[in-house]
Amino acid sequence: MAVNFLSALLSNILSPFILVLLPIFAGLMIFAPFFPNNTVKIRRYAKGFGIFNLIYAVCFLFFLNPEGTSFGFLEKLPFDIIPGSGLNPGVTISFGLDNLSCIMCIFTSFIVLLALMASKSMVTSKPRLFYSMMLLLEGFLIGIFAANDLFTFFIFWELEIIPAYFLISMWGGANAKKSAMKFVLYTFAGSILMLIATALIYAFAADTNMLTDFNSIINRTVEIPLLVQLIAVIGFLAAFAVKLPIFPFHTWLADAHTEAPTPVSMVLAGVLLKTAAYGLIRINVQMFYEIFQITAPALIFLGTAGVLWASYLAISQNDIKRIVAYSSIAHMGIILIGIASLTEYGLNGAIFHSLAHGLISAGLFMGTGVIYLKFKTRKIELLGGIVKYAPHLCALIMVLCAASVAIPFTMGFWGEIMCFMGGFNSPLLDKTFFLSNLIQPAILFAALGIILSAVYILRLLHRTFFGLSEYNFGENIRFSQHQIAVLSILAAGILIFGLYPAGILDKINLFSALNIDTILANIF
Amino acid sequence: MDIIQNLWMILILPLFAVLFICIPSAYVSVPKRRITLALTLFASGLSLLLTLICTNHLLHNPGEFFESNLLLLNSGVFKVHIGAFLDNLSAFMLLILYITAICVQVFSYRYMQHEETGSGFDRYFIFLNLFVFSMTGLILSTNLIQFYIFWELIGLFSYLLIGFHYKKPEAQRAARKAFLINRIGDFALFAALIGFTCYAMNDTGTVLYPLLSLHDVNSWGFLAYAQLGAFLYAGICLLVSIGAFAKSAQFPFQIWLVDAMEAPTPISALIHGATMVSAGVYLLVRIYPALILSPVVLNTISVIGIITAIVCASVAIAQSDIKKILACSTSSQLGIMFTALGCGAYTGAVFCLGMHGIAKALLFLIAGIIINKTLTRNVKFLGGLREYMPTLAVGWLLGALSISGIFFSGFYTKEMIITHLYDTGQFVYLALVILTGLLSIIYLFRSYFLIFEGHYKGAYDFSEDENLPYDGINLFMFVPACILAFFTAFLGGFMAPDFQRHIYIIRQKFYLIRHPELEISIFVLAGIVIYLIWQIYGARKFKVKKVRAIYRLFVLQFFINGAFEAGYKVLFKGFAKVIKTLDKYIIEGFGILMAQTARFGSYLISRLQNGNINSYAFYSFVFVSIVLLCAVMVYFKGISQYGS
Repeated sequence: MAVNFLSALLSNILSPFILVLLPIFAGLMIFAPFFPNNTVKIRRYAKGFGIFNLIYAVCFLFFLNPEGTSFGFLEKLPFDIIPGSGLNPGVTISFGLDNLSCIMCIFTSFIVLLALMASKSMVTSKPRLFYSMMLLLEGFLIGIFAANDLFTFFIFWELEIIPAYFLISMWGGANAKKSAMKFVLYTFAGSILMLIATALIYAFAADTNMLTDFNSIINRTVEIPLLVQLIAVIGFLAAFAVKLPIFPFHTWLADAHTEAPTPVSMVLAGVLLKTAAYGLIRINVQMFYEIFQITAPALIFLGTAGVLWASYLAISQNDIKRIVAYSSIAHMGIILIGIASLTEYGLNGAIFHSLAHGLISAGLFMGTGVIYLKFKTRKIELLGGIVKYAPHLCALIMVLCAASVAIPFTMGFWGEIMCFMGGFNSPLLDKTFFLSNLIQPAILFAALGIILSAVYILRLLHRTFFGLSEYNFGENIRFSQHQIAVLSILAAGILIFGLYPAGILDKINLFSALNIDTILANIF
Repeated sequence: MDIIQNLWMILILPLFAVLFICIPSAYVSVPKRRITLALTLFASGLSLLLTLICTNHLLHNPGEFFESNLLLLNSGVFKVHIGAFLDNLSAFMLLILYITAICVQVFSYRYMQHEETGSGFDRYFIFLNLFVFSMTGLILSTNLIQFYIFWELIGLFSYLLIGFHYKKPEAQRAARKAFLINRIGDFALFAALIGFTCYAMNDTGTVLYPLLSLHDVNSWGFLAYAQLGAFLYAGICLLVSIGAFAKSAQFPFQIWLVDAMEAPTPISALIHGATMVSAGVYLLVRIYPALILSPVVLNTISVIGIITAIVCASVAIAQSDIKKILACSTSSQLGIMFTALGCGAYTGAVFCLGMHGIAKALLFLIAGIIINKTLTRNVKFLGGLREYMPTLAVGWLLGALSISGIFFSGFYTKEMIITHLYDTGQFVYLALVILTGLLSIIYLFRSYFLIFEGHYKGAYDFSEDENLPYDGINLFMFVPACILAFFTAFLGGFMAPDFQRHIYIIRQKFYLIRHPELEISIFVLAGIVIYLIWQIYGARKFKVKKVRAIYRLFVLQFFINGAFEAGYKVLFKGFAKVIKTLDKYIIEGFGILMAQTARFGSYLISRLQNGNINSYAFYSFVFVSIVLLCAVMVYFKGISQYGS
């Protein structure tokens, strides 16, 4: 009885609007004149909201449609922003969650919470602005994942750039302004094409009296003419190619991630890149698969190129944060292969590896941040022998590095093996698309990333932690509890879900099994 | 049989030991080190007991096996199972593993004594347990994917153990080298794995789980062969064997093993005895039914094997580091096993793997005792130790005779291989294997005479422990060595008569007939070689004339080391620099070009706003005329449409 009541209450309380607006509201509240101008209070307030949002997001998972078939918690604004006429629905803001978006929302809250924890020692100036920007960023990111129509998706896609820009440029390193500007320009260049694509889909929907929420588009995608689909795929792909990043559009990433302050790098690498993976899956794969399958072989090649290119770039870097940043690009190449493979396990692998890489890169950025804080340098040739002073830090970073080189029983391994397996076994092989018979050799080349990742990760480990020490601290360095806590949580997450991947994968599989089945049934 | 159903316990036991060792010593009132050792031994001992019970069960029920699976990853068609699969082969491997592991664990207790309790000692035992755990998982693999998982774990833990002394730059370099070279093998095996999985999943309609079951290699092997064709199938099998070569330190990957001697000596014993390097041979043994389909691959395996056997044996002759001699010897002996596998002597290779493992572990423990005592690893600074530690001399002779295949356990294994080669008429390989055997006699007896005969040249003063029992050797070191010596002497003879009845593959030739003429001639040859070596290194009657060029070739390991380092520099560092330049000037340059174009455009436009009223009037005139022109065109187009 009590349980029933509670569940009824919860399912009524749970609203994606609140999920999205809560962090935004909390972020704006910090600016209110009555808010105490005290760093500690502001941080606790932000962390409190972060924890609340995380719990709130987790609640959604339990009340989703257990089959995970379609979107639950559908909600929209009671009025249209651009009113429709007659049968045509207008343009409005709407939210809805399915298994994939729910997991991504939880993940976003989790990473942002850890970033807020990490901010304690990493960010000292202008706390008011910083924490409000972080909360705004969280809200906008959740907005992207929770969006249920293309307009909402686009709105939040653009909005998220604003706090990201300020966070990078105001608290970043020496070249932060330039890097932030580069980040914004690259992203906007992609976004413009995305805007065109969105507008086109809306125009088409208005013509044919189609509802514009995701579900209706997915169900009626066969009715959309191929030309419209083609333009839409290109438009969205451009935006996602910049954000993911796909191979030739990656140059903004290393600069932005290196210059950003540590907590922001954690969010950027942990969540921001995943918005593109999410968008690719949600829009390109799920909606416009008929055209997307034609581009898929090319994307697999670009993914392969990305893995190799970025790995080599990581080998040649001398800044430990840059190594981590470039390793992100390599991992995103693997994710791209998984998505473009159009298989169930490839998709599973891509989603799983997104989460895995979120934890790994957040942890590695945190590690480099801690090292920078203590040793005041990130140059690989100036560091060395840290393990003598920081054995625990070394152990935690070893776990993260192991996950990064895909050692089994860490999260990184499962994602990688599923992505490669998917790419190698892709149904695209049966099609006669451009170069689709070269997919399997390409995957084998991408698998060379196994060796390359070992090269740069070992270089990172050995040049910073082992070898001869440049320093003499005399005794162990004491790290703040929150630094070790953040790293431990991330390492624990990597190990727990590495030993028990089914914990996440069962939910993901609900999503991808169904969608891939419909897609394959339609195109093959 | 109830116990056999609970076989997966073996996999959990070392993990429990690790969990308890992880408790900080502050919370433990009794001496922490004893507890650590006790837990480790408890885990391994119980595992050994379970293995023995299971082996007994298997021996009494021929043809039976045990398998249990746990679904670890369920992602559509792609499922990963982890479990335990026990047949005669894995039981034999487990037996060897636990015999060696227990001896090494006891030995380590004393050997690592000087390490700090909190970090060094506990860390060592945690890694050691996890190392044994990974090997157990590998041996008990039910499918190739599980095999790969534990294969990589072995690589990881061997990396951690080789680089155990993290302050020593050489140890770090060796660990890194071992990991990277193993990673090449990992890549090859991974590629083969996705290839096999792909073709085990397609076109069948029904997929058998666990995927790539090791119990049922035949079926997916045939399936892949049918779909891929002989050429591509050979390619995939070749990838598998490259994986095995890298793990088992075969040519040209043998260099990591020599460098890995920076590891603590008990770890070397474990790596060489029953864990790391045997994984490669075990892999090939396990998927042998699939390899048979591709004769090219089998030939490659025997060629690489025999090259390694001879190259490493000759390198071992020129080494002066006691551990490096043994390391080269391991590569060389594994080469013989690969040759045997390639030539079809399946049973002989497996038997050799086990017996060599125990004998090599014995030699490493003895080397460990010597190093621990005299603090030198160079055989040239040793000598005359027979006087002070006669038991060790006996042990060393035992191991040497066994490994070179003259007496004791090693004899039976080599006999199987040689008989097979003789019976099937592969005389070239036969001659080369015998040559390797003679070379192994040379380096093992050279090391014996240099270490144990002649005059003592070391720094340690033996007069202190003249009257101590067990030759002044600590009991924790003495007993494991004795146990291993016992097994080296008798296990082979105990197992040999029934061995090929229990471990064989279908269509295998059984070696029933002995060839006394072959054996006697080999004995005579071996006797002559031993006599010569005694004359050279023991009695010092002859002096060997070194041909400098050849000697240097041996010492430098045929320049393979240098080749690998040059390859590393070119393939990774050099190429990375090229990519970095390309990235900077081409890909980033393109972005900059776009930005500069935009800037130039804005400059052009801004030029238009020059404040001159005449030019503004001109712009408006142009604009108005364009608009008018368009309007007129639209108007007339409309008229023409209505008109028609």
